[in-house]
Amino acid sequence: MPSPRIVCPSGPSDTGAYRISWKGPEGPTYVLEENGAVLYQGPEQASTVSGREKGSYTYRVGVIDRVSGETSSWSQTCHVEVSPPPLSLALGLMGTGCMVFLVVLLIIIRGHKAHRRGELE
Amino acid sequence: MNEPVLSPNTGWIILGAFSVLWIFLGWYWGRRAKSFDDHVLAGRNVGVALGTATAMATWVTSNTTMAAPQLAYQLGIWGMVGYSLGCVGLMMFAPMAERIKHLIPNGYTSGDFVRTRYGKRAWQVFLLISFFYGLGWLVSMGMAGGILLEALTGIPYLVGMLTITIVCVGYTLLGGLSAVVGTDFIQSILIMIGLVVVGIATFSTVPAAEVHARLAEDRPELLNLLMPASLMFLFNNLLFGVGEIFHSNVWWSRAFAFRRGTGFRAFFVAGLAWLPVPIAAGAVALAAPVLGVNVPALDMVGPLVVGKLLGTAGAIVILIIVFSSLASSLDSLLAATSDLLVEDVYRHIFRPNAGGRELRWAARGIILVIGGISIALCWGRLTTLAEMIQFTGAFVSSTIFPIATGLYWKTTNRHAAALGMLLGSGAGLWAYFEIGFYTAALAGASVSMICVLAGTLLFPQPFSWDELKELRRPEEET
Repeated sequence: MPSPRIVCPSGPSDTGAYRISWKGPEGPTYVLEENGAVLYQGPEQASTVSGREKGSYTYRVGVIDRVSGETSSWSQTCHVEVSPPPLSLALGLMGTGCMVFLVVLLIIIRGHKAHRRGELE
Repeated sequence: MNEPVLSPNTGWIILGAFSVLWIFLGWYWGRRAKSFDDHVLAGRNVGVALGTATAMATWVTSNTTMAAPQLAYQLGIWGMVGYSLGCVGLMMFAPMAERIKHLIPNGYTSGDFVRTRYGKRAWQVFLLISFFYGLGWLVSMGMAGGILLEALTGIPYLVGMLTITIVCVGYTLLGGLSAVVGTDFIQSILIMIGLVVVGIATFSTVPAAEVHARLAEDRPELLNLLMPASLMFLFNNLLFGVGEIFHSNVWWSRAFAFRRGTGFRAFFVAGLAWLPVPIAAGAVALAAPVLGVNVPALDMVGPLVVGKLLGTAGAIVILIIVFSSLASSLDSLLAATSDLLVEDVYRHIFRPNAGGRELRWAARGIILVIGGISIALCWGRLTTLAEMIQFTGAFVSSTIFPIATGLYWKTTNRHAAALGMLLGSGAGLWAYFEIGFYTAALAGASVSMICVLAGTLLFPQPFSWDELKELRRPEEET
């Protein structure tokens, strides 16, 4: 049985959510491992992980032998770096968004009151 | 690969039954349309109940039912809550709808307003943004329909995409906005019932405490309220939704079509009714780890979880919900984009003296052309086009300040409005590529705000509201 070819995201992930896929023949049961622990076992050839904290994650895929039940034909390993943007940048942009929203809201509320009072004729 | 939960025969029966219903209703409601106003604005006489339902159903798109679970699975709690902030756009548009109806009683499109208020240059920029956004939305929905039908029923992508698009073109063609509003009413009820069934079924099978415990153990970042990407997404999505609604003719045509005095209530209540939809749809995705559902593609997490929980019945419910949400948005977008092209391009550029009858036929022809273009763009299943909708956040958010200040301020500077849309779009695109998709709308709106506010404060340009009231209907001109 040839080893499956594993594909990981090419760059670091800023959300901790990404897709790991692999290419191999249809039919066998695959095992996907993350840092040595089983993440998925089944016939599909892709899995999406999410909610990962900052850090480095290593993946590999193996094929389960139907007769012996042993996992063999491991793929090469691939690595994904989860690297979220700085919290200060996130809070700064969130604050900017909040301010822009409040300015629009103010324009509409004041405008609507003036409209109802007939001051915008 | 995942095997389809439903057989193609079951898929065809559901698709066929609803298609026949929509087309019959389109024909039935369309019979009453005698003038151009009747066809494109439902006689400007839509009441509160129908108005609320059409606004709510149109805003529940395939993006809501497919992307809300995806965002919950990807960005966690804030992803789900952030998506639900899309309701703010509808609620903020409520007072604007009242103002629009008052200012432009004989208007047809958002382009009418921008052209009269800001002149040709701003109008041209605005039309480009509107068409780009409309086409992106249309294509993403056509593709979503084809992909979902193939995943749930095994019906080939091209056949599913063609069927859904042709059915929506058919009944929009026959009935105009009356058909769109009427079918939206039924579709909104189906969407609400379906989501309640799915929500109850999910959390009665998998207790919320169990979901929380599993997430805390396996995917802690989904529960992290300080997750940077989701914090940025929160207001970005809010501003994206506000930009989509403020500029799009889908919403302006409804403001014109609603009976005087109903716009405010209809949009406000629709916003409140829409609020729980992404929460209900998104929460389902958080149950995926407990249920051991493998998710090969992010945007399929919702249907996969429901299929696992409810089997065939769940797949049927999901199919009906997504078909209804697709149809209610596709028909609205077809009608509104056609109105924009007829009024702003056909009438104002090529045929200024065209009468109501000629415009009605032009509107039908343009619906057919738009439907054809949409099918052609969906044909190759270009996944990058589905992502195009994310791009549009940069463009549409740059229209927020030109539209809001243009409606309420007499002195908004015309050049600043045009420049705000151009520079805002540029800044949004830069942020999209340099920081992430979750910042495009935020950057676009911020830069546009600075342009419009600074330009207006430094160089105010007086405007007479009477210019908007003088816009006339085509029948009166002929």
